[in-house]
Order: sequence, then C-alpha cells, then structure tokens
Amino acid sequence: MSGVLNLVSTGLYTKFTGDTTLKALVASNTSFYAIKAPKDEAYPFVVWSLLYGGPENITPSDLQSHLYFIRAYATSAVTTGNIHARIASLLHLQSITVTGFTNIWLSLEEEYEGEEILETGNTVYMRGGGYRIRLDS
Amino acid sequence: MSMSTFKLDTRELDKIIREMDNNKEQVAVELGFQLQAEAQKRAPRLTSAMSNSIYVVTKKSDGYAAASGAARQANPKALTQPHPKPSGNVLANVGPCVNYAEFVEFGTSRMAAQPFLTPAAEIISQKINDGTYWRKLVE
Repeated sequence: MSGVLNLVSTGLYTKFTGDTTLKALVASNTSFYAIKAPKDEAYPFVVWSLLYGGPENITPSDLQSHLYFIRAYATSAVTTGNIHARIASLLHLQSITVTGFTNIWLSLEEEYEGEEILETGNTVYMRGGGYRIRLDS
Repeated sequence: MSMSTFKLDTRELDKIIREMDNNKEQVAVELGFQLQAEAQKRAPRLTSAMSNSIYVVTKKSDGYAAASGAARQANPKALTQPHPKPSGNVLANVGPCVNYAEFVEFGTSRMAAQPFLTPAAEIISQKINDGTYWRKLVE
C-alpha cells in the first residue's frame, strides 16, 4: 500500500521537472522534494507531503484518495505566489502519471500561506495548496 | 385542457425547517467535540502541551482557559492564544491554541509536516458526507 505514495511522488516529480516555466522559478532544475528538502537547500524550492488519505475500500478495484500539501518556499512572497500559481496550473483539473493507476481526479481544494523567521533573522515565505489526488487501478 | 387545483400543506415541512436551525447548532457542537478528540488522538506528543491545547469554542461555551492551563501544565514555556469566538454562520472553532501548532501541522522549510488537525477534519467531514448526521438535523 505504501508503494502508492512513492508512485505519486514520482508522478509529481516528473510533472514538475518536465515544466520549463516552473523549473525557471526555483533554485535548480531539481528543487522538488517529497516530505522535506535537504538541509541547507537553496531557496526557492518545492515540497509536497501527504496530509491525509489512503485506500477507499469501497470498490473491488484499488481506489485511492489522497490529500497532498504542495508548497513553495522562497525568501520572496511574490516568488512563492508565482511558483504556487504555476503548480496550480499544472495540476488543478489536470492529471499526473502514476504507474499502475489512472489518475481519475486532481484538484486544488484549498490554499495556504505563511512565513517563518530563520535563525539568521531572514524571513522565508510559503505559499501552496491542498490537492486532492484520486487514483483507480 | 382541464385545470385541477391542489392544496399543499407545508406545516410539517415548516416545522422541520424551524427545528433544523436548532439542530444545526447541536450537530455542529457535537462534531466540534468529535474533531477535538480525533485531533488530540493524532497530535504528535513530546510534552503533550499541543494535544492538551486543542479545544472547542462555541457561541455558548469556551474551552480556552482549561486548554491553555493544561498546555502550560505540560510545558510551562508554551505560549497560547485563543481562537476567535464564533459568529454568524460559524458555529464552532476547533484547534490547538499553542503558538507553534501551525508549524507542526504544516511543517516549515526545514522541518517536515506532521499533520494532525487536517486528518481529523477529513474523518469528521466524512460523517457529514455519508449522511450519519443528516437524520439528526431534521429530527
């Protein structure tokens, strides 16, 4: 079952790294991470993680519903907004490739923003969204 | 073409609609306390201050003082802030009152998220979507 999370992460990574506009907005072509970014990773970067979800167990097929929190971190609020907007245009009512499954629904359900103060005193901004990803085998 | 007349007696329907307003508040408060319990069950624990700080505020009751006290008992350094009092169509506010809770729920640029409130809300919202509480609204 946990294999599905790896497959979704691969689908998201492939989607993000396949978009030149999004890659131009982050620090490097591979600034996309599941769960959390490596220590001292340069801003801006994108992180996604599971908020809630799993198998629905209501059909004989392997129907899955996950709510993912996909967000951008940057030292500029505007940059996080631009990255979030680009991600939304790539995902909302679109689809990702998840091996062994059909992505039957993908939508942005809610948006989040926040800020944190680093030990250096610098401010890091976050903007992102909760995306519902539904899969069927 | 002939025309027929009919009489529609809406007294029962009117009664249901009248009672729905009262029931709505009761259901919302009940779901609020279920959400509190579910979130407390799922909250990461180091000192238990955060899970202790999860409370419900409704138009008629406010759990802030007890939750804040319980949080500070678990961690004397914990800073707390009350939720806004519900007004208008908002019937209850539920969540933790320690000031670092959102960083636990959503993570930071250097720390992974450990969601506990969103999963709890998803579980409770399923009870609304599956009709569990519809009957309570109209009876």
